[in-house]
Amino acid sequence: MNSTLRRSISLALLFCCTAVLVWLTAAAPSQAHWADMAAAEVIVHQSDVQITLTFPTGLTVFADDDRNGQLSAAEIQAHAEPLQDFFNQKVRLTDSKNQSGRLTIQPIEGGLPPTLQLAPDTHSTLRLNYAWAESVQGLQMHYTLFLPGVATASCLTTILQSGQLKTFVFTPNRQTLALVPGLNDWMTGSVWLAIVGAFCWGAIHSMSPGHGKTIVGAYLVGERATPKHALLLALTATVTHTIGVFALGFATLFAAQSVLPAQLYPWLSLISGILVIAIGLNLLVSRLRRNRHAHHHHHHPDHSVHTHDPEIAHVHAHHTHNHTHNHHLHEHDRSHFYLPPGADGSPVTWRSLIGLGISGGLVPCPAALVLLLSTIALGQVALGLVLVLAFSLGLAGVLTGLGLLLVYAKQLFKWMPSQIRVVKIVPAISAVCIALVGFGISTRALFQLLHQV
Amino acid sequence: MKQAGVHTGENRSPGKRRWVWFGVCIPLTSALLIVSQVDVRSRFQLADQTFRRLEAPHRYAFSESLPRIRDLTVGIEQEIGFYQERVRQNPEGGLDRAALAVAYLKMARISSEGNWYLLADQTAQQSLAKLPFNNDEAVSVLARVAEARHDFAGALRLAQQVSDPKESIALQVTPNLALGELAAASQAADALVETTLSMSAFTLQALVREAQGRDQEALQSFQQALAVEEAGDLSNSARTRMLLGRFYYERGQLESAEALYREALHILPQNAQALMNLAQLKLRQRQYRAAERLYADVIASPQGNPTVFTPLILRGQAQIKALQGDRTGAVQDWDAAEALLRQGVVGAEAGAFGHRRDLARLLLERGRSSDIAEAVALMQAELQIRRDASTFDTYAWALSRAGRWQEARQAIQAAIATGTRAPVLFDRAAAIERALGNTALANAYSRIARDIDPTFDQQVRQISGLGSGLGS
Repeated sequence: MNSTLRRSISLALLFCCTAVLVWLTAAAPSQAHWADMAAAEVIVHQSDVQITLTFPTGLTVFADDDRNGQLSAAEIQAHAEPLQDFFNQKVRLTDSKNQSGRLTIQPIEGGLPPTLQLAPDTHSTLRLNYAWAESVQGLQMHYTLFLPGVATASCLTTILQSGQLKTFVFTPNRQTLALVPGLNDWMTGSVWLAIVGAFCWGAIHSMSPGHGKTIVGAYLVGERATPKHALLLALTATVTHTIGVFALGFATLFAAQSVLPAQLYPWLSLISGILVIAIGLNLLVSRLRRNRHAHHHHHHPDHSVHTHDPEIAHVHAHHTHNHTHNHHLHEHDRSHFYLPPGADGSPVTWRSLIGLGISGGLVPCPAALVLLLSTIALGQVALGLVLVLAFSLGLAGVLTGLGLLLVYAKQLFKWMPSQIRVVKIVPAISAVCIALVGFGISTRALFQLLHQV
Repeated sequence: MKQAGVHTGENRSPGKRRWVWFGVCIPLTSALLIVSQVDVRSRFQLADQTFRRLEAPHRYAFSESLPRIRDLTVGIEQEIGFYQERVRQNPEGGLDRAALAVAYLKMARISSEGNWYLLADQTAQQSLAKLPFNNDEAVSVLARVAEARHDFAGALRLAQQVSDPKESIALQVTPNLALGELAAASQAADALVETTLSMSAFTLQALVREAQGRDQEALQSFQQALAVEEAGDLSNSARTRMLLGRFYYERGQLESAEALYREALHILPQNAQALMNLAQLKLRQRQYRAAERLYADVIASPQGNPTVFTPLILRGQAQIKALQGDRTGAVQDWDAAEALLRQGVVGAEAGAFGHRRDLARLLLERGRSSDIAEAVALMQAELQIRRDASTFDTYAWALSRAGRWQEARQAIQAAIATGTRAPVLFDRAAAIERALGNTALANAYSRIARDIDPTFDQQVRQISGLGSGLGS
């Protein structure tokens, strides 16, 4: 057995053992039993939290003077201090500075008339109020009020905040819950995941063919380029791009003020869908043409030697004819290729660089538009704006990095993977995908409109 | 100078360009045409229905109106949030608390998580403290919680205090069934049917008739329940089919049973009882991997929280291993289930959620002679609160294992006397009579068992305690 195989087997065994350990520690213990059960209704306010807690009275037997299995108002009042200390330890709420709220305990009116009383009482219900001096952030709930040695003990918790209800089950293995982050939609894991995803998408998207604006600029500023030039060019393009996409979002929000959103969104969705279809089809056509065009050039080396890399400048080095084109008028891809100042040897100026950046970012990227329009279609305009911002930041990060890289190491530029055949057909595939997304949005909107009718 | 010929691609043959457009446009246009049809959803569902074996009336007739996401807990959570907010705004109001208690109870039934019953119970008590009179909703919740905790006598007592006669009789059927008071259960079920003509009323009537051994009438009630079915009541639609499936299972009609379980799962894909009954059926068919997958599906509930079904699932998984010859693995599962159940059978709440009978069955299934005395004691205690045929049968089983054959005979005769035509009862009676030397009588009981279920065999006997539903 060679060492690689041995190492693989060892790793696999280690993985299995770890997985088993994780499973054993993370698995839910079992179903609870009546005597072990507790339940808490949590209501979160700005600077205080109210918990209505039902728990096995046996846990506070020191306060159950008459041993009837239920804490009365008199018993709670008589044992206020020890009860407060007890619950301060067992049900702890802390803010982001790890400061506990000030706890007060109130009895809850309960108890049944004898005719409705069945079994002896086993549980008591109290109201626990936790208050802070100011608005509370990063609220966490630590719950350790379990019957000792009972693995099946649990506390079902409902958390109400801003009309939204969440549930959680505390067990001896799960004793902490982040209250505020778990409640606010903007702070949920899925939204963070979406933001990170949009950032990564922007970053990856900027690498794909068709986003060579900054590269073009950085390349064409040539020998006289500095990192500042590249940075400015990338940032200008990104800011312009973000503003362009935001403008559409704000227009949508403004329209939503005067019309009922429920009526507006299907129409917006439909328009969005049609727009996305148009973008997709337009891209498809232009990309198919560009591929065909590039293909054609490569097969006519006797006419002219062309560098037709979509990532870089459309530079014609017509060795055989020895003449120049007016490259400002020579447009191959309307949204992406403008030959910038400096290409013809003129000096690079800040003004021309900003102009180049604006021209590069003015037409919103189809991917960002799809992102925004899709979220509009789902009625999540604000989320869409945040995602577009994340997308643009991802795009800016990569473009800036590439610009700097190109300034410092121009040789890398020649090795960009855009010459690979697969990379050339990716734009066409992505265009088809965009069109399909548009079809989906339009169809959904049509269904909604039909439903309204 | 512009190289016109090169840049416009005019040299490309028109035929090739046409093929490119064909390849792109035809699929896109076709997709658009399909998805833009108004009845696109029902078309897809039609394809699904084609592969479902059931015919009307067993087939769910409102498939096209089924919501895309059939997790009922989402809607109930919204309801709970709404009433919690109402209670917060009006802390002195009793009615809002009663409505909140009802929402908690609904959640308890859907999720099978016991803590929701505790919340429902406490909230109903608080409601009654605020509004002691004319608060039927709160009293009904207390009665339902008592029933879930297997305090059947208490549930009946509370049911009698509900002033709404319709609700009162609805609350009396199940406790009377569990207490073996079949005449009272039948009376209540018939009255309920006459009053409401609803799906749940006919289903309850079917269950009572089945317990009385009136199989044909039970089937009629099931059919009537399906005939009056309405769209939107997913929980009852799934439950009725699941219970009818069990009816067929007990009679060896496995194809019908499976189709009904699957239809219940079509209506509510996460229905734990339908999944567990289907797993039992797969075990009977010796399809162990399928059974294992189904048990895994029950465990993987949307919330992932433990439920009252966890011990039953572990027992099912133990049987899978035992039937495949993995005795060690089976014992591990039985031990895990035992640990859970033992914590539920101590103190004043020993009977809650049926843990005592479940523990007795587990001890008997595992087969250790040292456990037998405890199983007998558990069933003697259980008979104080529940006296249905299945409980008497488990008691008879425990007594048989203890070699107390005369007492076992009395217990199984009490089960048979209820009228219930479950093959496992007659099979047990046959075994007891055989042990007592009454071969002719034993053969007669065996014949009855085979008449009811011609496919009854050792495998069926071994997994008979793994069903889920009313009375299990």
